[in-house]
Amino acid sequence: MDNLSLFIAIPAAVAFLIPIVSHRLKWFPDVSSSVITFILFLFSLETLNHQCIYQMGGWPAPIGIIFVLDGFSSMMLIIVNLIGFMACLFSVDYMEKIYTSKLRYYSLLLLVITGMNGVILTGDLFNMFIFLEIALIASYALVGFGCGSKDLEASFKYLVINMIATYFIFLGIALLYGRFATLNMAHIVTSIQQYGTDSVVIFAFVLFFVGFGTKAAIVPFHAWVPDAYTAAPAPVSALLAGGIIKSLGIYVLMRLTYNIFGMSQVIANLFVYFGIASIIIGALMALGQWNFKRLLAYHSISHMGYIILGFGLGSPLGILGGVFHLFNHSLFKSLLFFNSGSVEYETGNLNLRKLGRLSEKMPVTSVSSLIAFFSTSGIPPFNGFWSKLIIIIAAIQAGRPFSALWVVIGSILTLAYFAKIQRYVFFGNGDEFDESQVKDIKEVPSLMRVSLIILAVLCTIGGLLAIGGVNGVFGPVVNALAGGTNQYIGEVFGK
Amino acid sequence: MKKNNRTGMSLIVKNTVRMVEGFIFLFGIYLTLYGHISPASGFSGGIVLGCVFILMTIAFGKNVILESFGKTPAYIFNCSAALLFLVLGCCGILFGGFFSNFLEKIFPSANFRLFSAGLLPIYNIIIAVNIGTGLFMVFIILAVRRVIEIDGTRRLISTEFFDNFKEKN
Repeated sequence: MDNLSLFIAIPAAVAFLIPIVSHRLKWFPDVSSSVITFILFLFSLETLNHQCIYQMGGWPAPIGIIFVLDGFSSMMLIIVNLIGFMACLFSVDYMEKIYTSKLRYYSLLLLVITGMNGVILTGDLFNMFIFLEIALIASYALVGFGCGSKDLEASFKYLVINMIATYFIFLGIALLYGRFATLNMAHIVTSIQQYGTDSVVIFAFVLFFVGFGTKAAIVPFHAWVPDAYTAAPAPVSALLAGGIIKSLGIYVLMRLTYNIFGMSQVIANLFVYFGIASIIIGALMALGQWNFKRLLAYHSISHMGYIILGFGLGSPLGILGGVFHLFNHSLFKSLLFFNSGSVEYETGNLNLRKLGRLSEKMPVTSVSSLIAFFSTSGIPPFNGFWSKLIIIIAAIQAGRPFSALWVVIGSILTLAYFAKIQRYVFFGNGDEFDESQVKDIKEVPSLMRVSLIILAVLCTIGGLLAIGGVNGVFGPVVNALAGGTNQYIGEVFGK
Repeated sequence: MKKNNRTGMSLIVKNTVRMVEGFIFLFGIYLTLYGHISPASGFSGGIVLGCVFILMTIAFGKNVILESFGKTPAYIFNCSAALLFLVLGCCGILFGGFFSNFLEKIFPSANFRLFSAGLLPIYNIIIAVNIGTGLFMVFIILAVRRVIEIDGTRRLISTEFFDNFKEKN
């Protein structure tokens, strides 16, 4: 798959085609978006273990805009397009019952996927900013899609906080452009190597850290997350947690840190401390929640901490832990949001106190939720266990035993608040539970079930991907990051 | 288009808009067509074109403009322009890369010729249509559309229906 522009062209074309033809062909939004995201997922699988550069308009770097495909971007493409496909499949019935205007919904969803694919592939800082804006602006509308007062408030909060973060990013790009007169990421690396790291470069990094840290939902930049995740439709929440905060936040932050600015001890400490803060604060906040989706939002903040911590360790094993947990988190987090969507679809309620005894009425949702629970809490042999184990081993190897201890404490807290969900939603019941409400409840429609089952199976067998360690499936990702700045220059300029 | 109905602003505003709308429209087209060789582009030209429609909506009232150029044609124009832009970009793949300026390769550029910048003037026209209709749509949705809840479903409706709905309830 050498023509990387198709990852942007295909979803964007369908996003613009949907509003034109959907008035006559009512089935078009459902079918086209599911088919297209599936094709994109197949394309992304084809990029595995593949490395190439695509020049826009035939202009070489650093004059033109380039797309760079390496191990890290390939893995992110697979994650984003898989979650996108699952979200489209889940939306077919979910959006029909709970929301209206499918054509607008799918159009925006495909624009988000376009933006994320663009951010992952681009090798140009300003081009990345443009794709970031495409994904974010579409997601602002998707978060407030319900048009209720709380949805609009959440969307507005999401918009304001992310606009401020975007401003920081924009200022960082402007400073780097002013300093080096180039926007090509690999060319910036060669300029930094030539002129050295001065105060402008350090200030630009701080701006990027705050900006992308906000998008990555790490503490203390996480204020938008609980409201946005709660208000958004369940597939959008899954895409936010499984795709947007990872591709627009973690991915860009790690790409900039490892491949542009270069990893240092100060940055490593920064990541580790922010990671530990996210793990503990996110988990403690989640413990006290009674709204299903709000609890999942704080859980997301907590797990971003694990990923940041893994990357912050700096060693190949730490990077592997971070990358593997990023992959696993996308799977089980999307599954959990789909579970919450299924519960909302059938009961119309997300308050844990008012829910109960759904395990008999909704067996597929219940079992998949149990698998996601085991997976996220780090219970063997599910995928979450292996990634957390790798992070713990990497932390001890890197001489940070206390970081490993915080990871263990975070896992125990995760176990506690997910046991709460199982107790109140599926196997027991809340204080305000009304028996008559669950009388007519049945399992969700087949397409929603399919996405639940696929993700549950992937969570169960996902641990196998850890085989081979740093030389296994995630080897190219670890090499792309651990190779540092010289590796990236080599990829782009072929040196 | 009937511009003499009672809606809208005063006669002075209406007459002034009647006098200037053509010139502003022409200026928008000038900015668009001249964009590839001057500090202008389809974006700024499109903004000016969109502003003409907004000005007419303010001066003559929303009904006048919605009768002649409603929301549906606006977003069909908008999406078609975006799609056309993308299709031209994809055509470039056959000539060396996504968004490759293939027209320049077919008709080699020369000064003072119609296609002196290859595809750029065409891109500018498409962008002008996209931006102009997009700006107009944003204005129309903010100005004359409201979200209401009818039988548990939320709908985006025109303000006149909204007024009727409020009177009924």
